[in-house]
Amino acid sequence: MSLGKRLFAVLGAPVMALVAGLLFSSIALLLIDESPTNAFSAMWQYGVYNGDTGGIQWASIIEILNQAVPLFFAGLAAAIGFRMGLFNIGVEGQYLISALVAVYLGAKFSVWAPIHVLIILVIAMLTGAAWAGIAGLLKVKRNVNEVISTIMLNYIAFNLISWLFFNYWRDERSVGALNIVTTPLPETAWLPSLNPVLEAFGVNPRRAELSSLVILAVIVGFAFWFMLNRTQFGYDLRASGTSAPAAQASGVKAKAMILRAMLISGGLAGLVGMLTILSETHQYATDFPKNYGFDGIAVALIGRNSAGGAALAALLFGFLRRGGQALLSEQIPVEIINIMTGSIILAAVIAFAMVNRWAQNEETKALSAAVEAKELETA
Amino acid sequence: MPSERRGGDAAVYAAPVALAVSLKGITKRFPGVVANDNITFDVEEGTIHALVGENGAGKSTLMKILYGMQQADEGTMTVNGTPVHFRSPTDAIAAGIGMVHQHFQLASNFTVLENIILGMEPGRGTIDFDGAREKLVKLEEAYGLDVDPDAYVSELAVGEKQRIEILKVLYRGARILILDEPTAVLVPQEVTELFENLRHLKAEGVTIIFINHKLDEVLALADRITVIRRGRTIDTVDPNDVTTKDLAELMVGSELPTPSIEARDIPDERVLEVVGLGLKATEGRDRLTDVSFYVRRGEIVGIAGVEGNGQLELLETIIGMRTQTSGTVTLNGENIDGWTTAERLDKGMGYIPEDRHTHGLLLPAPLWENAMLGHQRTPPYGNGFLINPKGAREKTQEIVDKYDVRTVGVEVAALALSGGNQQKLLFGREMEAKPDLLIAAQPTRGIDVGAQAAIWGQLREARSAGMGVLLASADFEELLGLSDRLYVIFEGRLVAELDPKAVTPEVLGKHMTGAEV
Repeated sequence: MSLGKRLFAVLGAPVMALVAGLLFSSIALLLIDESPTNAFSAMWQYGVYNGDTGGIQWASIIEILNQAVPLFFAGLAAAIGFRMGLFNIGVEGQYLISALVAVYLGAKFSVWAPIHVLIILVIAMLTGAAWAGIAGLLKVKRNVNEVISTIMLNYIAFNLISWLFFNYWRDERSVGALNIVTTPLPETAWLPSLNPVLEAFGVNPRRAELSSLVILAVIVGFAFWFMLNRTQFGYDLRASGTSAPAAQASGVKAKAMILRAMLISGGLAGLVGMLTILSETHQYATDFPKNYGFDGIAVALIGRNSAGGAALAALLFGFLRRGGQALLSEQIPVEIINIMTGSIILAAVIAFAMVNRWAQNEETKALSAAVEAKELETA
Repeated sequence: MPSERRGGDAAVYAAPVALAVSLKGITKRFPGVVANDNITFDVEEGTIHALVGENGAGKSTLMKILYGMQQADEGTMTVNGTPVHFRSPTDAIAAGIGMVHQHFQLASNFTVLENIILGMEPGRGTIDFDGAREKLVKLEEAYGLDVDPDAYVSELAVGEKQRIEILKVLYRGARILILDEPTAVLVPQEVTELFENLRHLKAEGVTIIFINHKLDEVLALADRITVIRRGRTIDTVDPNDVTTKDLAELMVGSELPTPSIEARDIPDERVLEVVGLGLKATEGRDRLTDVSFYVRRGEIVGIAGVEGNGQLELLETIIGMRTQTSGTVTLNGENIDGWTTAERLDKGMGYIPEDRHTHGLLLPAPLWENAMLGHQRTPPYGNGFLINPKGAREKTQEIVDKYDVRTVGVEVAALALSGGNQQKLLFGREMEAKPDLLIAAQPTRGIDVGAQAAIWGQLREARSAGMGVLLASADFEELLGLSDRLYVIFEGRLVAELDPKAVTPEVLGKHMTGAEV
C-alpha cells in the first residue's frame, strides 16, 4: 500500500468520526439559531488556546488531564474485556464500590505517605477485581452472560453503596449538610500535585492542580500495551477475542482466560475513582463523580481498545467536558456536547468498520497482484 | 417416462424434452481456487437430477449460483427456456426455483403455518391465516406432504421439519427444487419417506435437483446423475447404466490411485494408543463408543468416514479439547488423560483442524501471529511468559519460504491468503514443531490442486521423518493414496480396519455408509 493509503487506514476513521461530530452538533446549533463557529471557537479558546488573553490555557489543560485520567482507566478496564470479546458493562459499579471501600479502610490508619497511597490503590484494585470477579465466576461456572450480570451487579453495587454509606460509613458531622461525606483520608494519603514540576518549566497553573496520578496513568498505559503485545497472556487474550475456538485449539484455557480478564478489568476499574480520592476531595461523598464507567466504554470504543487510542480518546472527552463549560458563558445549551459526543461515538463505530473493510480489501488485492506477478516471473 | 429413458441415450427420444434448467460453461473463481470450471449440464423438466461429487468438488458453489446466492464469473443459465441472470435468491424464487438447505431455517417457537408464511404474510395489516391455511392444505394434499399446519416446529421430528422446508418453497411457487444433501440429517426410515415424497413431487411435474454423495441413495432415486470432480462436470449418466463402483470411479478419477509406497516394515513403536474411548453426549446417541486403535512411528493411519460420524469428536478428544467419558489415551507410552490441550501440543502433538478458519487461524491477525498459534508457549515464539515477536517473524519467514506460502511478507493478515496458502502455512507451523504425532483433519478440503499435491507431499515427508500421522478424511483418493492402515468410523464406532492397498472405493464406501458391517 502507498503511504497515503497507509495513513488513511490509521487516521481515516478517527478523522471521519470527528468531522461527523462537528457536523451534527453544527446542525443542532443552527436549529437553535446559534453560530457553530462561535460555539466551537469559544470551546477552543477556553479549553486550549486563546491568543487574546495570554495564549495556552494551562488551567484548562490541567483540568482536561485530570478529567482524562479516570476516563483513561475506565477505558482500559472496558478495553481489556473487549479485546477478548467480553463485555464488562459493570465498570461503573466496580469503580464506585472500590472508591468507597478504599476511602473507608484508608481513613482508618495512617502510615508513611507512599505506603499509605500504595495500600489504598491496592485495596481499590482488589475491590474492583472482586466485584468484577463475581461476573467472571458466574460466566465460567454457570454460563451467565456477562452483559446481564455486570449490569445487575451495577445496581447491586449502587444500592450496597447507599446502604453502607448512609447507615455505617458516613461522617456523622456531615449529616444535615448539603453534601454528606465519609471521614476524609488523613494527609499521609494525599497525593502531592505536579504543580512544582510545571512551575519549574515556567508554566503558571494558577488555581488548577495537576494530579500526580497522571504518572500512574502513563505507567499503567504502558503496562497495558506491554501485557497485550509482548506477553503470552496478552497473546492468548487477543487470540481468544479473535477466534475463541482457534484459541482453544491452540491450548488456551477459555474459562481461565475469562476469569483473568474480568479480574484485570475490575482491577483497572478500581483505579477510576482514585484521582478524586487521592488528589481532590479525599473522601467519598453524595456528589462523588459518576458516569466514568459508562464513558469508559465509549473511550475504549473510540480508542480501538488500545492504550494509545484510549489515551487520545480520554483527552478528547476531557476536552469536551472542559470546553463545554465555555458554552455556558455563551448562553448556549451545554447539551450540545452530548450531541457531539454521541455522534462521534456512532460515527466512529461505522467509520472503523468501513475503513477496516477497505484496508482488508486493499491488502488482499495487493497480495494477489504481487503473488501473480511473482508467478509470471517464475513461469 | 422412466421407461423411455432406459435407452440411456438422448438420441432415442422421439420428441424434444423441455429443459427446466440448462447450464453452459459456468465458471466461478475464488482467490486461488477455481470452484467451478466450465460446468455444463441440462436438467429435464419433471425429473430428479442428482449432482454427485466429493466434498469440495464444487457442488455447493454451483447450487449457490443457481439459487442466486453467488454470481458466476462466466457462463449462461437458462431456466424453462429463458436465459436468466440472478442477482439474489429473490430473483431465483421469482423464476420458480426454491432451495431446501441442509440446515433447516425454521423458527422453532412458531407453528408450521407461521413458518411457511414467514416473510410473505398474506393480508393487509392483519395476517390472513385462514387463506394461508387453505392454500397450505391444498399444497399438502396435492403433493402428498403431510404435516399438521398448527403443530409447533419444536415438537416435530427432523423428517417433518424437512417437509416444512419443502412446503415453504412450494408455497412460494417453486417448480424447481434444489435439495442440498437432504439425507445427511435423516435416519433410514425418514430417508425412505423423503424419497417417496420426492417421487410424488416428480409425478406432479416438479423438477428436483438433488445434491448428495451417498451413491446408493443416488442410484435408487435419480433419473439422471451428473458427476462433478474438482469443479468440472465429468459426465452425466443414467442410473440404469452404472453401478456404485462406476460412480465412485467417476467421482475420484478414472484411475484409482495406487498407494504410493510399498509395504514397509514399520517398527511397533506406538506413538498413540487409544483404548476403549467413549464420549457421551448430553442428549442423543453417544458421540464415540469403545474406540480403540493405535498409531505407530512412521506410518499414516487413515480414519475414513462420512462427515458427522464422530471423527471430529475423536480428534478433539485426542487433542484434549473434549474430555472422554471412558477409555484412555496414551502418548509415547505415557497416559495423558489428565493433560490439557496446551500440554499435549507442547509435548509432542501437532493438530491441523478440519475447519481452518474457525479452529486453525486468527484471520485478521498477521501471519507471524498465526504461525505461533498453538506454539506460543515454546521457542522461538515465546518462553512461557513473554512472546518473542522478532523470533516469531523470523521463524514465520522461514516457514513461508520452505513451505511455499505465496505472500508478500509475514505482516499480511491471514485472511488475505488463498485457502491453499493458508493451509500450507498451517502445515508448516505444525511440521516445524516436529511433533511425534501429527493429527490432520480433512487437510485438503476446499483447496486448489497445486496446494493439495504439496500437502500430500508433506504428509509423506512427515511419515519418513518418523512422525506418526493420524489422517481423518472423506476423500477416497487421499485416504487410499496415503494411508498405511485405514480405519472406518461409522456412528461413533470403528467398524472396520482395512488394508488400503487391497480395498476398493466401493467397499470403503459401503463401510462408510454402514451398509456393510
